[in-house]
Amino acid sequence: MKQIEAKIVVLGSQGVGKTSVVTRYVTQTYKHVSPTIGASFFTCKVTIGDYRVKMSVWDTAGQERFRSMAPMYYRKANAAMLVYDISNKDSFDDIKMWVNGK
Amino acid sequence: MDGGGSDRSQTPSYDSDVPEPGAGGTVILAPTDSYADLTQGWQGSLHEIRRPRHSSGTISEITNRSKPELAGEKQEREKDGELKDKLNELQVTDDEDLSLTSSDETTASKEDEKEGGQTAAVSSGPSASGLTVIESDSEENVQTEAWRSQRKHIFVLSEAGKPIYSRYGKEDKLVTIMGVMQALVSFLQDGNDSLRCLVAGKHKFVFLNRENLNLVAVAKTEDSYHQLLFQLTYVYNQIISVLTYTQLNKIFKQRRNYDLRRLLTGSEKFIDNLLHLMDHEPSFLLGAVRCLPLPSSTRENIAQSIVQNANVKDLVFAILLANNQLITLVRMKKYFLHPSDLHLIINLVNASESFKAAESWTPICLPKFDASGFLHAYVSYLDPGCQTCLLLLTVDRDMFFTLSECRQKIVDRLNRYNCLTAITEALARTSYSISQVGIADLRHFMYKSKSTAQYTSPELDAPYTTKEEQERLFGLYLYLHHRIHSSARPLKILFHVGANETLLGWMTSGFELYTVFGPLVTKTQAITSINKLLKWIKREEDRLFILNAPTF
Ligand SMILES: Nc1nc2c(ncn2[C@@H]2O[C@H](COP(=O)(O)OP(=O)(O)OP(=O)(O)O)[C@@H](O)[C@H]2O)c(=O)[nH]1
Ligand SMILES: [Mg+2]
Repeated sequence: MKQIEAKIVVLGSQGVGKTSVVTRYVTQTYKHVSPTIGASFFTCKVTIGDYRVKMSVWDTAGQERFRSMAPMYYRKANAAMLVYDISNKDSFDDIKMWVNGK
Repeated sequence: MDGGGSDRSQTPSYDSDVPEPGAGGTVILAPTDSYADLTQGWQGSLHEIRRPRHSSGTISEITNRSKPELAGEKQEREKDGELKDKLNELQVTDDEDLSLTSSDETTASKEDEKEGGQTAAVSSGPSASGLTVIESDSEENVQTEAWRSQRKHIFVLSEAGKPIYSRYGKEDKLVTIMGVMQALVSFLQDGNDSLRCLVAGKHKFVFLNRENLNLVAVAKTEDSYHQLLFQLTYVYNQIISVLTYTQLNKIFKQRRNYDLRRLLTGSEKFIDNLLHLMDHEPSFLLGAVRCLPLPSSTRENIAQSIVQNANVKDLVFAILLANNQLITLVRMKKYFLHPSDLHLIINLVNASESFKAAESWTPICLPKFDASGFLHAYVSYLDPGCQTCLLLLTVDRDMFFTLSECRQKIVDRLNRYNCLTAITEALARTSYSISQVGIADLRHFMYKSKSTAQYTSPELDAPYTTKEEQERLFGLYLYLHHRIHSSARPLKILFHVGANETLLGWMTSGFELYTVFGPLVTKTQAITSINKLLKWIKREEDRLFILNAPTF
């Protein structure tokens, strides 16, 4: 079995459900979560085909005041997951800012 | 009936050569006097916080100190530049951002909003002057009985009069009332004067004018003017803790009219929580922290676990908290944590559920430590029940993984010595009841050791078991504290006979003691009792206080 490590960062505006998605995936349960302060670090292991993947996930805070910290997390990531709230168009428009880095 | 200590034969005495109970050999927190924060504020200084310069702040001092030497002029400049970069990266706004905000007012939504059940949205943001928009909604909101009957309102507004925070009710519905406050403040400022306090009926209106922000308390509680001013200072520090003084200043220098709620979105709950804690926890009033009672050998062992496993470069403070109480604090040599900074940290942990989900990494500014920049906090609960919270504070923002490893080693050692179990047990037990102290007629007390800024107090037993009685007791302490620290006439000792209880307060150079007796106690009895009490505290000091201050 081959081992790989995947570094993932989760980005998006506040309250869109980033932490909910991550905790649902990591703990396999849905629970009520609170706004993230700074950033939270999760790890989880999955097996895909011949690979054992060790995922480390930075779940960042969407609050405006933490926005400038985002580069600290995506700089070192292999993948970024951009999250928006399907019932909130502004949060979708904000995605552009994450893609363009501004 | 007060006896302000006139009768010499009946005043207690404490030998000042003997260290007060709870005074350790080494200082763990910066020592404090009550209102230490305000001593300048009383003189009406608008600029209590020194203007921080990047190159001389405590954070840059540490950052620079741990860099390899070769202190040439040029290199110095590079280091400064490097730190500035670090700071800049944490600054949330840039000019572009700022210019966007004039038309786009972010409404800070407060989840716990229940006031008056108003749902109508404000269609236009507050106008530029912040004074002219009068919406019928805002009028209604102010006129609801529920809103008006709140006992302690707290407001924060910008120097331009823009609403930033209101403890009750949505800020943007309070444009008119905040405008009036701002008009009052600036009217007096124009005459080079400052507005400090107004009394109208049962209400006190207390104003704190700081650079960029004006804070107002409107209260019909027992709190004195100075106590309210002190609370406003905490609210100001809480805002600095989220933004840094540097950033706050920069924002308002660029745009006087900036809507600060945009950057404070999500932080209102920290102010809400802080205000709640200040109304219930004596630690703020006393400028001290409460320690979790633990056998001194256990506490020593916990401190050692941290010292041995978190001895990494650039780590400034390691703090272990449980249930708003301090378990241990390890600090970098030469640097002290101020109790009011620790209170903000306790408030952060107390108000954030999110730290329970995973290890976290967050910037935090400690205004007393260095108001100009952020420290970076690694935050993680150590037990599955999420009671014991470890915070590791560093100047290096890239240290998360190093600190995460430290945490694991700390937990391993704590488990090896059963320390986490000991903490859980200590939390499950009530700390101690007044009956254990065994002094007849003594109902409750608060004792603060000044040199270590720690205090101890028994659990709330009968008759202080209902919410009303507890609030009344807190009111008695507020009164006693106020009388003793009265700026016009500070007292060393105060014996006060009230309707339901008798109060005795005693200040020395080493400690502050506030005691509550039954109503029939005589002065002589009370004095005999507090001498006994001091002996009891001395006997228990190992367990109740942190006597040794470990350093890295
Ligand atoms: N209706 C609905 N609510 C959701 C969904 N996902 C999350 N929520 C709720 O939306 C709120 C915010 O969710 P979070 O997961 O904290 O959002 P976040 O993006 O992590 O927020 P920040 O950490 O502040 O950036 C919570 O009350 C969740 O329970 C969803 O799919 N549907
Ligand atoms: Mg989140």
